[in-house]
Amino acid sequence: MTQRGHLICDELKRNAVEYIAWVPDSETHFMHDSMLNDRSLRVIQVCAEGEAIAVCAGMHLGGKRGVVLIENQGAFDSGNVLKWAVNLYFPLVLLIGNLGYLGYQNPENTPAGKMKKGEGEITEAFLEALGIPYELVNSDQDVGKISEAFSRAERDSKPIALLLTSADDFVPGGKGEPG
Amino acid sequence: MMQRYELLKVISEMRTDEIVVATMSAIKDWSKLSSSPLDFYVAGAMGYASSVGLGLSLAQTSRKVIVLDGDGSLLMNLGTLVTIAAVQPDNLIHFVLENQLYEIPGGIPLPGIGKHNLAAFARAAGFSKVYEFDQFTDFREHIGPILRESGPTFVGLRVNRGPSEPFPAIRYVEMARNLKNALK
Repeated sequence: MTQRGHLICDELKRNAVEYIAWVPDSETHFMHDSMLNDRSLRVIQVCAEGEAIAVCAGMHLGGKRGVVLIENQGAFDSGNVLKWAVNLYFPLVLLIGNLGYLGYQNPENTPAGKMKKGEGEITEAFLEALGIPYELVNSDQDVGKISEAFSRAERDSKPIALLLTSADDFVPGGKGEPG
Repeated sequence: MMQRYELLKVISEMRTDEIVVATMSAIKDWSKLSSSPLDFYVAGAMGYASSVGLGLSLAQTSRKVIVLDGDGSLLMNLGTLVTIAAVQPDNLIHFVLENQLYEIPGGIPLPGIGKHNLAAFARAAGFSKVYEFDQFTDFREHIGPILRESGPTFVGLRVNRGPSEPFPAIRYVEMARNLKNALK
């Protein structure tokens, strides 16, 4: 049983986060119960990842703090709205499930196909192309990087990404092959 | 069919302290009608004006948020209708100016003209308050109560293509800063 979901939710609340704009993903499955059962956090489930970024931008303009929780493949889908957030200097913190970093049970049969060797590399290159700094959150000890990310986002007026890896050995799609 | 500028002029005359989020061609007309610090323009993120409006509506629950969207823009982010209907922000009014064109790149027709209906999409997504107007007098008669009622509200407006004119020079970063300061 992992505590990392609780640790992350506590860290978000310490940083005055009130909303999580969310598209579910397998890599951050460990977060789901923690955040959905936390009455201090309101989860806004959106239909596509780009919405999550725009919703949090609107919250920022309105004086509230939301955090984006999406998967790296959804971030790829959101390239244009991420570019916009960078251009407008929005200090958003992006929690991104770093699918592929830890590897699959059968890496020859990943849902992301040719990405099997390099989701991590692609994710990093993608964020670097947009000028979005990133840090890896791969252990309970890394959770403190979330506070640093909020400070850095505000200081530098730009989005900051935290790449989250699975903390509960969840297998996408259930017990079989990843789907 | 109606003229976009004339519709937005009516909205601007009735506006009090609402936040207005406009995108794409609506920016051209709204920028002639308003210079309020409560205006914000979404350009460079086509499709996401209503999502920004949703975030503002959640952050500013005591203030109404008016989104001036386009049909081409909405088609790029149709899931926003489902998201908004699920969240049910009572202070959000989503206008969609339907010219059936990608007007800015030269008036290219949208895909599926005459086969889809965005108001029907909104109803199917779960909006309970959905209006459609294609006559200016009808719009002018009903828009006052629509602006005052609780949302979320979807308003589809059938408009003609706007005049061919350059996109205004907008300082988007400054505009974002001004809105944020105005809402403190």
